Amino acid sequence: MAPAPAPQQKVDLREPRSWRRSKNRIVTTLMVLSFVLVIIPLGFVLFTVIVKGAPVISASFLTSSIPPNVLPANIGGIGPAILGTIEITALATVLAVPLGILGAIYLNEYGGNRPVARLIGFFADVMTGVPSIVMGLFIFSIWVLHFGFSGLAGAFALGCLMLPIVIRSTDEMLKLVPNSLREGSYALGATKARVTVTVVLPAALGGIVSGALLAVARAAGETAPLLFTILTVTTANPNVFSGANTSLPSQIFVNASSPYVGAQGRGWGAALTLIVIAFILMIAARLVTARFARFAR
Amino acid sequence: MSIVTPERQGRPAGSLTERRPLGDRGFQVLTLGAGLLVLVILVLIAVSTSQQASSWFSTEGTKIFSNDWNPAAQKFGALAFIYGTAITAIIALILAVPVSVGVALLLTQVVPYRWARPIVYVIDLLAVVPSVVWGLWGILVFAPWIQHIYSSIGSGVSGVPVLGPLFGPPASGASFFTAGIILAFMVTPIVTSLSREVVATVPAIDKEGAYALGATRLEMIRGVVLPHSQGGIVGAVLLGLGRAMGETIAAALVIGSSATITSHLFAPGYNMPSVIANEFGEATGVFRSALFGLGVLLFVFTIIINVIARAVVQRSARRGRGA
Amino acid sequence: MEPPEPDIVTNLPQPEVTARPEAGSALGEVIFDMKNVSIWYSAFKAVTDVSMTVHENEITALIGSSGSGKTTVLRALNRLNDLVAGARLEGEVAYRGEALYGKEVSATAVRRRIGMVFQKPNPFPKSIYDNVAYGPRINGERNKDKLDEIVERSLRRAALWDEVKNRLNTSGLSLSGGQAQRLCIARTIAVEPDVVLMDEPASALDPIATGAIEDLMRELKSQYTIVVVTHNMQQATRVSDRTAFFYVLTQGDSDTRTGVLVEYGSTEQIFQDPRDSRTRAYVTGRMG
Repeated sequence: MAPAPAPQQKVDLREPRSWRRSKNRIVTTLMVLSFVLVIIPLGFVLFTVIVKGAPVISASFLTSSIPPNVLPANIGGIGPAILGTIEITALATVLAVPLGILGAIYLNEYGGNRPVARLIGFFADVMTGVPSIVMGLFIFSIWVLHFGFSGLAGAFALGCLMLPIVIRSTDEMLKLVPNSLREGSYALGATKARVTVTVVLPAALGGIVSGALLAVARAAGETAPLLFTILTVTTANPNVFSGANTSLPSQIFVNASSPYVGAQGRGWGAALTLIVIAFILMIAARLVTARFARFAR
Repeated sequence: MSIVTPERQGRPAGSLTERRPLGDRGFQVLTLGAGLLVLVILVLIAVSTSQQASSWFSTEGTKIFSNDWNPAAQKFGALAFIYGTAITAIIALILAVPVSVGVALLLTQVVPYRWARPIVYVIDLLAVVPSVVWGLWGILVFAPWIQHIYSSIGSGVSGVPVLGPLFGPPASGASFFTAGIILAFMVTPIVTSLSREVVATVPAIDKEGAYALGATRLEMIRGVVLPHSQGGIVGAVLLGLGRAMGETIAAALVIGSSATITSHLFAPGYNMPSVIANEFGEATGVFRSALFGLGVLLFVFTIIINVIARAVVQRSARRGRGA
Repeated sequence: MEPPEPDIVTNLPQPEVTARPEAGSALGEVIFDMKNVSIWYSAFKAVTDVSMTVHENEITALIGSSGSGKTTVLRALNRLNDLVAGARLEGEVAYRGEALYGKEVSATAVRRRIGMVFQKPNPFPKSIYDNVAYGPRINGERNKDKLDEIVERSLRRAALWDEVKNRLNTSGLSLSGGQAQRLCIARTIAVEPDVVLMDEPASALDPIATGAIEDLMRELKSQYTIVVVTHNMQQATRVSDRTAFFYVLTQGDSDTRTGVLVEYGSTEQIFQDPRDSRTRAYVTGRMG
């Protein structure tokens, strides 16, 4: 026996006007606000660096030698610093990237769940959090005290910084290589080393290179590790293995604390140069990732 | 159309019992060596810096924790720097964490996937700006500007009970608070990207369950996303703390270089990495040893924080997968 | 090595099995001789007490429902199970009279003689040429002309040459499913193996590509010994000379499962006159 139909009530499906609803709106607004708070300082810094740095930059600025701080910004340049950054960062890359890739290969292909591998993996992660100035102190105490300041010492310090970063990013990329590729290679009678070098590495290459580029960008911008290892000088030193050296971030650090407007102007120019270099490396990393993703599909 | 050429050589020569080729074994040893380098370097850092710091530890003894830093008088009590490190890191976290978590939630829960990528690019841009550029901008542009704001706030809260000692004069552009702000800018990308990773692993089923009960987005976030990701977010925050404590150059330029302990956040101050960076060049003897000692303390603190952070993240990830 | 788990198949009904194919059919040399082989993955006993022989220049099919252990047995023949942590084999596997799992035996050497084609085509992200040349190269062949010759010969044998001869430098990933699988076959025979193992080689392919693979298998038989796992019974009848039927045995009370070999004979006999009731049920379609 069906119950008598209830009196006709209008079903109201409209948005309930309530405190719940408003709370939701407020929080969404706050989240958007957070994003704005992130963009504003970034925009400010970039804007300032461009506005103050661009007028200083010219071909001669990028190649001339570093004048005494007191001289105005349109005299001289930061050539030695650029040379220093290039040679020191390149050396650090050559030291850290191959070792980092090999370490990640151990973790992914050989180590598995063994205690040694888990220990290495854990501490590689922990090592990414070690302050860069500690790396500088470290290299000072075991190298500089015996062999003096040099670009090489700076490269060691930067290399220590880059090593765990490269290990971590390479490890992620190796994990993504499907096992079926490895099996196909094993089934042809390849040894593990062959499988890794001829199939796994090429398959992960795009990601590995991209990760390495980002590590290089990070290293190029670091100042603290270089403070006690290269002894910031103002003359160009093409010999990265001996003698004090300079670099873009080191020079900016010195100029930032200088009271002279000229030096500060050169500092802005150097900062713009450094940011451009970092951005180029970052964009290169993205392009490599995109291109290899297309190739792999 | 295939042609099967009938020229088979018979079965492959050689026996099945080959020794494992030297190259293969050598390669394994090589990779193990590269991996062990991580552990070796960490141990060497600990040993060599402690060695350099030993004369400071032995001459000062427990006085290393006193607030009496006067290199000219051979006094090296480091409390002011420890205080400064702690204060600036705390300020940085208070400012950065809500913003970072907010952006992480924005990217994963609110923004449609297509818009998320450009926003992530912007966050990455933030991460790419080198520390020294933050410092340069901080001391030459930001500090002078914010000093006015500090002064106004300072005069406003002059007599007020809690706010006065915190925000009252002196008001200096280069101060604890400015360092905290700059550190917050630098720490945000890390905390954001790690939080994002964690929050993105919340299973869609759980979220849909909340929505199916008529929850608003905020309620869903509070009820499902946050409980699920709190471990990971705590880990992300701890990593941000470690970064804020160790960040040197930007802080060194804007912190004010004054070794004092004061509650006034707008006053110039000092912290561990900054004093090392600024004073190392000229330091000798026990002075230099003291700076090394600060480096040791910094190393130990950041290692401990990172270990705890990684352990927390691992545990919550494991629990999340089991849940 | 942990002590072996308590034997979970103590009440295994004696399979009405012919481990050796009946006399009368022309028997080639014995390539594989398996005696009482059991395989574990950690604590899980995947396969129990398998005994069978595989003969030269024949296609031997392993059939049975999912989980019956046929792929496990196949992968044991080229020691690919070694790559799985916790995998263990008991019993004897002889390859041309030599113990395959002997202490001194190198798995790498084994795999150079016993190749494998996988279920899902897995071409390397390299060019077609480099895919096929990979095996010979790691075996030391450097001479460009020789490599060209090997690549062409292998691609011809795999019935792929005409389709790709003008684009040997394009990526192997750009091929369709059927072509990619033929590329993998070409890659496998480029090293001149003795045996080719195939794990459901056509299951990921459409019917036309499947037909091409089956034609290929029949042609390759004269040069190689082929062991193929398939869940497609029509395929087994179309290509194989001998068929082994595997079955999942469950212990009702302990809910443990393991794979066993139930019956092995000529393909004709297995499909037209199966001796075991379970075989009959499977081949007549009453069992999945």
